[in-house]
Amino acid sequence: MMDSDREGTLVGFVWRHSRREQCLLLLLTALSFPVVYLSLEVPKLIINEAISGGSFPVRLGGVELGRIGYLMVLSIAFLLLVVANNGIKWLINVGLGICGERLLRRLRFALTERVVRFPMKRLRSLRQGETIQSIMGEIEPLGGFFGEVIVTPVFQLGLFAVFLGFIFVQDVWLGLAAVAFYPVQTILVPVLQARIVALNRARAGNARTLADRIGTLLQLTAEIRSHGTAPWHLSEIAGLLGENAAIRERIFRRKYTIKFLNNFLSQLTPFLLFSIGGYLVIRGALDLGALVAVLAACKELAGPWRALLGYVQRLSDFSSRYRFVQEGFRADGMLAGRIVAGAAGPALHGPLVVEDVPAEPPLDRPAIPRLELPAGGTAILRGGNLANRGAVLRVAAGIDPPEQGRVAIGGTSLEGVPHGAIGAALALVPEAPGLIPGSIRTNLVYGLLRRAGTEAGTGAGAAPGTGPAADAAAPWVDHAAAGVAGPEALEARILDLAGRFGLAPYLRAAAMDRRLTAAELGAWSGPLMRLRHEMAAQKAEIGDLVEPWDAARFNGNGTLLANLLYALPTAPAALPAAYLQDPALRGLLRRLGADRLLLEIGRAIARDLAEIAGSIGSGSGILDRVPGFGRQDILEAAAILARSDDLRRAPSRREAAWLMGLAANFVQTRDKLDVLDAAAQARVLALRARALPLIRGSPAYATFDAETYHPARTVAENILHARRRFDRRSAWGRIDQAMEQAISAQGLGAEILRLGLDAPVAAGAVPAAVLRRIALLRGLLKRPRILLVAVTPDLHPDGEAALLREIRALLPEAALLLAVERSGGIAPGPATVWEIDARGRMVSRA
Amino acid sequence: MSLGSAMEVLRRMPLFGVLDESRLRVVAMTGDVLSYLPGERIAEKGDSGDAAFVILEGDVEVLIPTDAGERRLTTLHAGEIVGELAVLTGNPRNTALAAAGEIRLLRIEREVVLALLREYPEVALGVIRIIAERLEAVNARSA
Repeated sequence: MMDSDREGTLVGFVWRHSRREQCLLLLLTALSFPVVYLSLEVPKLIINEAISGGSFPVRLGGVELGRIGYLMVLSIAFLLLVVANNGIKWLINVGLGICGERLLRRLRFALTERVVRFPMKRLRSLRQGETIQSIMGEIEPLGGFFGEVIVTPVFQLGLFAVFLGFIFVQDVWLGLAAVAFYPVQTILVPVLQARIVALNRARAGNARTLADRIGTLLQLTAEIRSHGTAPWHLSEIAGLLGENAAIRERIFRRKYTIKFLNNFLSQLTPFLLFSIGGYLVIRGALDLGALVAVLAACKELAGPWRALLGYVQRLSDFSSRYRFVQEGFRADGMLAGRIVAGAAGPALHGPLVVEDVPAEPPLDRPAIPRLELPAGGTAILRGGNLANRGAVLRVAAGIDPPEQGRVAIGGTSLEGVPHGAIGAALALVPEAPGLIPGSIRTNLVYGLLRRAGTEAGTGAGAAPGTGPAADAAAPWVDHAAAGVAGPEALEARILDLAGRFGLAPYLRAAAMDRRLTAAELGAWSGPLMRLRHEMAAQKAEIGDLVEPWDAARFNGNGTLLANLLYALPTAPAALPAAYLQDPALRGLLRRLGADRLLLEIGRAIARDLAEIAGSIGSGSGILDRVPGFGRQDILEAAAILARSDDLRRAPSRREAAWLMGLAANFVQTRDKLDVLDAAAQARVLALRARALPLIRGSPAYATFDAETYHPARTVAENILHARRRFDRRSAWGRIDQAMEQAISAQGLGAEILRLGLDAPVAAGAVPAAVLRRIALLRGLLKRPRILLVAVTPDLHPDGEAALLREIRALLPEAALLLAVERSGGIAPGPATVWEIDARGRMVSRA
Repeated sequence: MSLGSAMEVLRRMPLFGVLDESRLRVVAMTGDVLSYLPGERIAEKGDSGDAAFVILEGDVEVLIPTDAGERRLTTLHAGEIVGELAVLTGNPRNTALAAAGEIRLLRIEREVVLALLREYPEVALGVIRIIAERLEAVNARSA
């Protein structure tokens, strides 16, 4: 059982993991009490002795002081005490904050680590949204409370005791009167608080469900749109939101009822002091000065008392929340920590044997009486459906351990073997692999990410920065597992595999489509500028397909904004119109007077678009097919014209900004509208001439000068350094060919592929075939002794036979299990064939 | 080529000449103006009929493959439309198209052509007329 499994109560968790800090904070707290007491005592001395006293001079530390001197000394002492008191409070608060954040990080890590150790059965029923809500949103407020769990009650109780002591020193009976109602509050508040705790639990459950439903909404976009069920989902979410609001309302009511009672009972104390104390003063049984002093002290007493009551409320609320979260992260059959934590395991060699595994229909798993994969052997798994074959592969890979039966490698059962040891011996290439957030390189080397010797990084509450590096940098990449000496050799191996399995074209395209980061600019701008010059030399081949940038000429294939500035901001934006949101750029356009031109052109475009909208109606599918403009653009243009009486009235500020954006995006050859005649183009060039001196040299902009690399433009755009002619798009393929020739001529082919390796990838943005090839390379890179592959026709550009040939060439001694729909595409040769028959059993067809 | 020039060609065509100015503008706006150099291929036989082409400038050769190589079936000129049959039938193109010189075309996607036929019945009638004329010509040849 891991340390993170033993967290009982919230207080126990805090004490267990921050004992040293808590003791330090308690020490600081204890230090503050004498300072607080003295800060009460010194004002009394100032009034009674320095101001009202009669015996002067007084001797203080061997120095005789008169009234004024004594008053000044006491006043300065008071000031120093106040400073010391606040200084200690500052230290305590900072300590509390840091401690709280550290504990929150530890708790989040511990919960996440438990998810990693959940058994598959539990993982299958896990609701993603609920889990994220538990780990992130639900325990967020605990961060502010963790630090104060132990210190706050001690500090506030201490303060309370100091003030109470001060009152009792003045008068015992008044002291008793001052605390008379506190026992009532002590009993009443927890009773009322218990209901709030229950409501908070209900609220947390509701928030989890809500998070899950919103997550579902995002995941099921295709189903929701194809069935038109958005209203049903939204209605469900509206119901949950309503329920959430109702619970919160009940919480507020009870919370403020408690507050009302507390305030009322607190005010009963002065009532008693005024009535009983006043009566005693009138009867001559009590000194008026003593009554006033006690009333003042009572006021001081209220602060810590309120803080204590608040603390009790938070403790009960957060303790309940803590327990609720902890309960959600327990499961029967949790994997031992060492299994996932990268502990060393046995080196697994020998045949993979799966035997006596019964069918599991809910998991689509056929019965597996016996499956044996000898080292160096090839086996084909065919028949059944995709889910059947996937289930067999998962069992064989040790991912989905069966409740009955046995999975072993070289006679060692995989049960209880650390995942790292299994991962070193075996690789699974599933039919629908996952994508790791990061670059293509991260995804390729993922199978080699191993802890560098220590357990740092997975220990709960690990120090900041010990998480896995986002990229292939040491020490996480196990180069030895890939059979290479270091990063350069690994990269060469990746590129070799990318060539063999048809990933290179994607890497090249990814390189061309990406923008360089600031860190990459230094190393890459030189080679890419060489490519630009190479492309410029190929003018004869592609001169008819592009329109180069020329400071003296209007570029009909460039946007109007790019033409105005002969530059673009260095920060990338999806559309030029987005740049207009930058106040600095808007200011520049205003200074140049270019805003008037943009507005003028924007109005002309809007008029033409409104005419289109008027002649086909807002429901027409044609609105989605107008090159350069979206349906929304056309309808918004029509709406603006309708609102502004055909633009006879000045547009509002928002409308003007929109119209200017429309103009900024305008590309003459693509958008065709006759809104930029020769005179307007001459105006654009005149404005450009005035803009350039202001822009050149500014780090916020990069011009289209021949020797300037533009960080906001893609690598391909920078290499080409010209606009592709829209009217020649049918021949754009020649540009790409010319670019490939230029890359080849400059000997930069491998460099460009390397650039592609660092291209970021996002789920949903990578074609399925590419994703599967990445997963295959991920498995091959670690040179597994057993490779299990869900074969799809697109896994290799030359087909399944070529796939088997390449894998065999790379891993001559590995055991291969290839799951295929039909084995026709793969010549099995000496391979064993396993088939899932009609009865849902795996049988040998050897 | 500007929108006005494209509209001028469309206006002279029997197929689109029946449309008013704003509808002509819609037709011109929904297509892509493409330029081709002499000899460049516009479409191949067997390509999917994903677009029709209005010839704005220059001539287009309609080619058919034979055992002796490609044979020119006909030459179409500015103001004519080509590829509309493949768009309507959804079948692959049965001829290839190539630029006879420097040309400009208005490429209108299949979905847009179909939408125009739905929205503007006068265009639909025009297309029917063109098809009927071609059928008549074929009948006359075979007779």
